[in-house]
Amino acid sequence: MIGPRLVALLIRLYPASFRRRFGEEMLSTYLDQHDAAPSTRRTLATLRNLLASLPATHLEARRVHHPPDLQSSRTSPMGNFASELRHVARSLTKQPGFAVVAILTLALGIGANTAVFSVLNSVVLAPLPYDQPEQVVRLYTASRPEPGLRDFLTAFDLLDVRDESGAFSAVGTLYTYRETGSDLTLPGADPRRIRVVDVSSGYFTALRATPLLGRTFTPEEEQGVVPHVVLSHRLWRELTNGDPSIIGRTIPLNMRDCEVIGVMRPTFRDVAGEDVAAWLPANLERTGRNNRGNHYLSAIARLKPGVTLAQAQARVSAVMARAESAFPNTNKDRIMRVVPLLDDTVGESRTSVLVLMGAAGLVLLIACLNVANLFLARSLGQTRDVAIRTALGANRARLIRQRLTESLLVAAVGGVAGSLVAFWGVQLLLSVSPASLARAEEVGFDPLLLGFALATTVLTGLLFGAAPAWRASRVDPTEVLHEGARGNTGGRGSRRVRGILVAGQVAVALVLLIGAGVLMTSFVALQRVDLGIVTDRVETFEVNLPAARYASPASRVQFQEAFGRKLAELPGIEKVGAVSWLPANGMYHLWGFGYQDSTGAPQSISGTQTRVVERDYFAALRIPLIKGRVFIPTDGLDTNGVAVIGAMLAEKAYGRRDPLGELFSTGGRMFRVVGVVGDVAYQADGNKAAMVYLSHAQFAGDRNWSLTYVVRTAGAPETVTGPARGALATIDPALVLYRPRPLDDVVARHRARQRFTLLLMATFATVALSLAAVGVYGVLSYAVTQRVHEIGVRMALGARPGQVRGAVLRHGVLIASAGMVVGLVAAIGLSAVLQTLVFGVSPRDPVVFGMVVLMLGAVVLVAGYLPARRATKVQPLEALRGD
Amino acid sequence: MAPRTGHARHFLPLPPLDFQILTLLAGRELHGYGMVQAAAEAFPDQPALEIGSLYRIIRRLLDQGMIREVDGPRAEPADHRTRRYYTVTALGRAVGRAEAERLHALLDHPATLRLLGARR
Repeated sequence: MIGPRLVALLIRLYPASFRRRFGEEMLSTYLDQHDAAPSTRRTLATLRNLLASLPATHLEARRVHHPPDLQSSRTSPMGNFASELRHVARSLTKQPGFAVVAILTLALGIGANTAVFSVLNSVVLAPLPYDQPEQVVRLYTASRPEPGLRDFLTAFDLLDVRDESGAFSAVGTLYTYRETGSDLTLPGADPRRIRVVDVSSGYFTALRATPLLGRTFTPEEEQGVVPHVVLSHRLWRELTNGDPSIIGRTIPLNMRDCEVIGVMRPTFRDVAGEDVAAWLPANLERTGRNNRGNHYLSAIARLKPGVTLAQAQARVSAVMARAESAFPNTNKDRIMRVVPLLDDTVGESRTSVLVLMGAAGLVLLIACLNVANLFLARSLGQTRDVAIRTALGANRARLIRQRLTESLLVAAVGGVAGSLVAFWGVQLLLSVSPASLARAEEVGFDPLLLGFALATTVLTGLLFGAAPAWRASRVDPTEVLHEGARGNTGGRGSRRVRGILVAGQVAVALVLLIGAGVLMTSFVALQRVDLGIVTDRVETFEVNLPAARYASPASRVQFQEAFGRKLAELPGIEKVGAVSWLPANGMYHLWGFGYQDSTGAPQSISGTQTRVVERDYFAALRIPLIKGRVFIPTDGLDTNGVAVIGAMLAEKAYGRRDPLGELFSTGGRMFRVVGVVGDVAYQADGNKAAMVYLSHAQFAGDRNWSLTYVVRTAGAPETVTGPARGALATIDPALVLYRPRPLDDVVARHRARQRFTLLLMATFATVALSLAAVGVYGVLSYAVTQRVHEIGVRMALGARPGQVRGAVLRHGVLIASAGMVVGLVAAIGLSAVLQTLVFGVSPRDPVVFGMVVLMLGAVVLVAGYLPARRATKVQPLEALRGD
Repeated sequence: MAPRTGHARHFLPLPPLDFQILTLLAGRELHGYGMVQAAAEAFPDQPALEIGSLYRIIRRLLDQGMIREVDGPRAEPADHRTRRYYTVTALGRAVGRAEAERLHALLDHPATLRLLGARR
């Protein structure tokens, strides 16, 4: 096949202007002629003629005036680029399919990725807003049998570690045991409840937070109840419009005048949350409620410079070991853990965040594969063009530059579309789940991430667009042109590359779909979980009784009795109860349970959850009574202590014995079991534990219980809020009906993270599925176009449409199956990652795997069917006439 | 902007191959290989049209405004070879006609007839 090569060589000798106008055409005409009747004699004649015409053509080229050439290198570089951009834009709009799919892919891939990474970046990767945050740690207690526990500290734990460990430059406490608040009752304004945290002197020091005005707490203020308060910047602005003379003045908190001693800076953010409005001094006196058994404090500390986490842990453990030997009664098996604050803040969301990051990365990968595939296809479509133009002397650099321009143009448009998707994506993510993600308030759209995603996809596009262009420019044009005669443009090798790319997309899509499927199954299981209560048509709200006004247990019992009766009289309210801590709301009040076994020997169970209830709590939540009775109005302050226990505790402590009438001790008092009720979940995922219920009327003397009311309503639960507020005002107008919300919402809030994770995974999986479908469709369509000739021959030889369709579909199924096999293996390998995130379903659930394979298979078939059907529409005559 | 056909005589005499191509393209549209085929059909005794000459002439005729490029038929084969189609312009038709008349007159001239008779 030396003829075409010599012809091409001779054409190269022609004047450049002439070559550009006619070179390709001359070669094509020669090849048409050659294909029709190959003959060496003719080729020789052509060569002689080309040589003979050469001088004349050169002479004429000088004389003849030719129109200005767009490709002339004499134009300025910028003009050149602009004209090239125009040229590329024209060629892209001529084939809008490629441009549209490429831009959509980029927009989805870049947008989804940037949005998710923006959220995750702000939540997980961004540093905490404190000086040298890596030194800040939290301290938790745990027990040897359960070292993973994150229990609270006693004041003694805190003081021991602060004074004896020598590992920390500062140790402070914050009282987060319950979401504490204080009622702010300013004259001339409605009373309202603000979030207040009790902190010790070391708290602000550990965070290196200095006040804007005044000072923070001193160790002296930790002794007893000191009526001093530090205000947040926001509250200060609200109260006084930023008047510095507030220092030394008093504000009424919980009906007690507190002297303002300081105002924090606007940049200070409390560890407990953005909405903390004021700080009170924590009472660390070694008397009163502080004892070695009362775990209720959270602790924060700053490592001394040069002290590592491991060293600090060792010194803390040594302190705890000394306390254990000195106070075996209270400190047996108690240990303390040092946890970096960042780990703690992100805490439980860490796994889901990592899974989502992985998923976002996979979506980007799919987008890259798709873009690579698109550009590769386009490149291959132009291989012949490029090869001929190079052979005829076109500037190779220019051809590659053109391809780069094209990639950049597509990437730029895709990038703009992608930023829009990302921007909306961030808004959407935040609107869907503002509360469930830690530090959600800090989330912002991150242009750097957009740049990263854009760069990744563009580089992919360039790599797969420019590389074939570069290679094509080195390919022997005659070879390419002859491939055309066999209807096989693109070549076997490049077709395989495209097949592999699509198989890769299918594989990644399968992994994402399985992830989403498993999470969805888990979420459905979570919705169906039995909490042991009936949550619909129940409104909840808190009422805090300020200690200054309700100092005596009797006054508190009286208030609850009066308020409960008023509520029960309201229309639309069926049952009224109250509880110290709502179900499905986390662990609370893990107290010891001391009882006698069947032989009369004393036994104890640690970590029994204790709830103080009022009125018809069990009836309001429809907690079934299994045995005995619930509390009755005569169970008062002056009678012997009675208790209701959960079925699980009855079984655990008394086995087959009848628990009714048994005596046990908790919270320093003796109680008699009068009833057994059904178990109630303390976590939203349905986890149940041993539970003790005490009557508020009897146990009000222990402390000022801030009760949460649960009200079963006839209609929509929200409708009773107004009347309830009115009822409260008739009893005490200075009290606040705090945080009214339906119980369904309370439970849902604890499921919000799962829902959020699921939603994102489902979005990713949908994007992945669409992109994979586009990939399969693209490859098969292209293959059909390439094989028009072959299909035409087959149809001419009598192949039935079904056979042709089958052949095309087989190609698609082959690619998809290869991808699915790889995807299944990867999904099984990655399933361990999901283990901690799922509930009530195995991450390798065969049903989920099966459904996903079926669904993906169906989508692939549909995506493959369209090109396959088109193949049967090939007109044999036209296909054959082609060459 | 059709060139005035009155100019046709300026282009005479036409080189023989130019004239041949004008006649091939009169009333139809052909691409390069189409012209080669048509020439072989119409003038089987003549040497085949070769691409070196062919495109030199096409370039000349295009530049002189005697032929122009046209869109090819819809059903293009799906390969990637460049096939541009050409047809004559009004000017080309006028020039071709003028050349044909000129040749006619030349052939009808007694001197030509004498030459032909002598050969017989």
